[in-house]
Amino acid sequence: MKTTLELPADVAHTLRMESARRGGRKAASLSKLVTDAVRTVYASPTVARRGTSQKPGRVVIAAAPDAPRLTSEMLRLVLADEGL
Amino acid sequence: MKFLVDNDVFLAAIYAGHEHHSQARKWLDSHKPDGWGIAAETYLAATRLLMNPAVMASGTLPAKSALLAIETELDGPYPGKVVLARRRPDQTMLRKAEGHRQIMDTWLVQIARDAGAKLATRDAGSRTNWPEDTIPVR
Repeated sequence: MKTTLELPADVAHTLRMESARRGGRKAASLSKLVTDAVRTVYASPTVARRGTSQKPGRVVIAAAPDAPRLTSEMLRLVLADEGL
Repeated sequence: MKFLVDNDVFLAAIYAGHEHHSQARKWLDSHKPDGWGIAAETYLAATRLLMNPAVMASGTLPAKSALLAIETELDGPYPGKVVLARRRPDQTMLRKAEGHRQIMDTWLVQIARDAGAKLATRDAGSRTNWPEDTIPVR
């Protein structure tokens, strides 16, 4: 998706410096740096999701609000479709 | 190891969006002290399900997080084993399968039996075909 971002000067400067450090725009474009940063902050560890808890020996992963209620039958179909 | 947990029960235990989450979580918590494990096939199935947008929607996990969740479940005061098959698929057992869906179920029963364990499952077909090798999870 193409979009326009308005960045504070210090953030833009940080991105330019990071891009240069990694070998320039071909190796690390601003798009790639922003993408990596967003994934790191918003898409990682399950512990960040509300209702999720992970302690050794007891994991409970919360369902996303848009996730279907998973039935045993659905689980079997998904695995069968994928060859397992 | 007393119990080998099947794909459905294991995923239900760790994923709150599964319809049988509460029962599976409770069962696993109470039976872990007896000795438990999952087949390598179940390990991979859980990883794939947690990474699958058809199952998890916007909560789809990257591989690193899915693997971390599974390893964390296997860790703890009563660690679970990851069991590899000890021999090739047993034709005598597989011939009892009624349809393609029972092939993997039967394979898990064989892995459990060869490991000296019972397959913990909610699957009625497995329980009917292999009553001596399965234990129902309710």
